[in-house]
Amino acid sequence: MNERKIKDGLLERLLANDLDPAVRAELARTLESSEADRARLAELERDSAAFLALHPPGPLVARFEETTRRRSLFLRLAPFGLAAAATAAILLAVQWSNSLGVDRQGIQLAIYAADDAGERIVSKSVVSSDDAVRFLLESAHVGYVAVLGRDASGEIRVYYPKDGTAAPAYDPKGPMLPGVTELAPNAGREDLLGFFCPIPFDVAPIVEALRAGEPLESVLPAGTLTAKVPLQKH
Amino acid sequence: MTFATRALPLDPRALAARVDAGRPALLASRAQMASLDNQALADLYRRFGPALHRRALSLLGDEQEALDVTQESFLALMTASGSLRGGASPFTVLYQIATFKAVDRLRRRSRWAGVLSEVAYDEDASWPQASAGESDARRVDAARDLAILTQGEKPQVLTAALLYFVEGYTTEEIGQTLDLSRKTVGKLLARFAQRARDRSKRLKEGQAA
Repeated sequence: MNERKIKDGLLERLLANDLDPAVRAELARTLESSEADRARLAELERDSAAFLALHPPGPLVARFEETTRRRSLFLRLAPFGLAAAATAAILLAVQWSNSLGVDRQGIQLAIYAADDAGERIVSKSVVSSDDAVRFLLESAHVGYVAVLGRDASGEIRVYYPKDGTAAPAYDPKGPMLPGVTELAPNAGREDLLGFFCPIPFDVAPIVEALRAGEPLESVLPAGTLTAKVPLQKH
Repeated sequence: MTFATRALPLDPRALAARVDAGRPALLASRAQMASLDNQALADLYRRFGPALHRRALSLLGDEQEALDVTQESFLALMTASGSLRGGASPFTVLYQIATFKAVDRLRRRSRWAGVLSEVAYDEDASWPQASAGESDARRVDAARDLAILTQGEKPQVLTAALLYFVEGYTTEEIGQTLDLSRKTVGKLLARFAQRARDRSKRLKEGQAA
């Protein structure tokens, strides 16, 4: 059998009848002389039929109906929700603006002591170097988040995900990030940096850029938001 | 930029009505998108679902994940509210969504292998592919590398880069697959290659440290 001449992407378009007539004609000529491509096209056709027999459109349509129903419900309730959210936003802004690491771009990072009292640790607070803390990251959108620490010596630590490499998924309905973290056991200033992005991102390039003192723009995916909370450890 | 929240200039109902015509898509308003009915969705799925599933499966190697990506791609098309590219065909839009979503999943489990550490675009040649014996393993590594290199890239750039650097398409074949001119494909790839080289250099330095 001769060598393939047409890539799968084009055979798929041909099979779906989604090509311009000129390209279709060109491919038809190639197919005439290529037994391997004809065989592949026939294989794709058989596979399509088998796929649809095994996975008919019903489940997708049901999923779409559910999505539509939820959106419709949301739109009906949105006016009430908006009024409540606006009130809550004003209250939160007044309450937090003086003490949190509020980034002008729109996310907020807060640190809470992971003890029984669970008090918020405000920006520039003096804390013990080995205090256990929880992180709360406020964003209006679903996405992916990470929290890093940079101390006075330039050492970078990945606090959330703990020593991880990929930013975990984030849901604004649960702004308190899971897990308890011990701050690094060294005294002095430490900046806690929150990162939020609507798409998945790797933490390693950010760590490398911070270590090297390079601008983060080149490693952060478009749309990434940041927040900073400086702490003083003793 | 998230693909799911970007809107597509396609009216799936109009597309479904043209299933047999094989014509490019029509531009559509948000209201038209919202009026899509279940039958239109089912028609679109029957026409393009198998191809999208094969696309996702070739990248992910997992039937269930590929099925998820296939369904999510159609749902993204239905729920989108902005605009991607005027006049795009339904196949190219869905193909880009599925590729983007599959690579997104691939990225989450990828580690840098260094196979694509020296990417460069040559307008007169396709990217050299591995020999038949080593092609599968190398292709998997290359796909994983590309997933990392394309973090933050737009779906169109990501898809073109994957076709060129991993799957060995020429610029002309990419243009035909994605309804782009060869010149546009060349520009996309040249700019991406520059960004990818910078990123792979950082990744290499990170590994060495």
